[in-house]
Amino acid sequence: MANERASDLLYETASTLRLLDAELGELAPRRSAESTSASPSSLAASLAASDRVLPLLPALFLKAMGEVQAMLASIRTGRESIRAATSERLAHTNEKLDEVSSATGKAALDIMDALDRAIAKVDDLETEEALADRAKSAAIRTDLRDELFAVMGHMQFQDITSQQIMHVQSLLAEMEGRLTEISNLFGNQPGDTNEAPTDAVVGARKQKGAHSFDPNATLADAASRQALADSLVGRGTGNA
Amino acid sequence: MKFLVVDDSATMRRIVVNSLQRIGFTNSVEAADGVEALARFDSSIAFVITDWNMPNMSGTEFVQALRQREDGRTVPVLMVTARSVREDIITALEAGVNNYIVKPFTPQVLKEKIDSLIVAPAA
Repeated sequence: MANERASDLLYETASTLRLLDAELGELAPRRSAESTSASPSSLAASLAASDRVLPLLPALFLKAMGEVQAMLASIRTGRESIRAATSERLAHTNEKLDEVSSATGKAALDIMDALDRAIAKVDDLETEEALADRAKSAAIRTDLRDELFAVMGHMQFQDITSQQIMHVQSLLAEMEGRLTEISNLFGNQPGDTNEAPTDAVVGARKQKGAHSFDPNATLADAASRQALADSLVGRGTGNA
Repeated sequence: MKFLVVDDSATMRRIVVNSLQRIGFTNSVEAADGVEALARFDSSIAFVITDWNMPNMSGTEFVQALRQREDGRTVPVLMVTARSVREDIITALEAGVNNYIVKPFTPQVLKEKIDSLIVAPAA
């Protein structure tokens, strides 16, 4: 919205400045003519034209100044809203990345713990007592399988963290879109080598995987979240 | 008993399939999204386990489409997903899901939910 307003003002200002340029252009050849030919009749005509144009200039200058000021105000407003939105999203992005980092760390520790316990079970299997007692060794093998299976369960962190990372990617794509809007506001200069991605490209990036993640995906409080699901299923909500 | 396991994460499909094997269900087929799941579903499938967030067709869209099919009207569907806010759970149940597991889950929870739907089949 602020960008559209700024674009309109930019367009209006450009029109005013072009008009101003045309008026000044009318004056220039006449002034030149005054100094060179200086015939009485042309001098009189030139002065008459100047008299016609000069009174218009202050109004034109004022109009151009007003439009430039309004455009600057609009750019400032746009910049502030972009700054506010961007900093909020950056904070959220940081929060999500922290969550990914801690989830990965916790899963790695859980896996290490399960592997430590599994190694201890293998050691137990090699004791003379276990070798002599088939029932005892069978029980240890069952425990060992449980531990190894727990390792596989901990791998669920990969699904959760990948959803968190996809959420971060979508936030970054949104910020990229805002920066593109700012870039487009000022237009590309001839010779620009770094072309801003088009809205379509940014939109496509945002859409990519938009249905593949839950922005609230987390490893935390699984038991209480499951309890909520159980209560709603038990209540017979929907077709269940 | 043949299971259809639907999840866009290959890791999760493997975890679910291995969990099923561990609790005694060794026959399963896999699909990476709702579109593939609809193509793979036939009357030999006795139980569906599906994720929610997937590309092309989400889990809820898949279940809604499944419930429109003659052969998919009564098959038990268990949703296994990271989504766990109240509105989401209600949406899934209204789409035709019979039971709901929040990720991360344990094989024990998976067994409980499957048992509840096998013992008391979906209407």
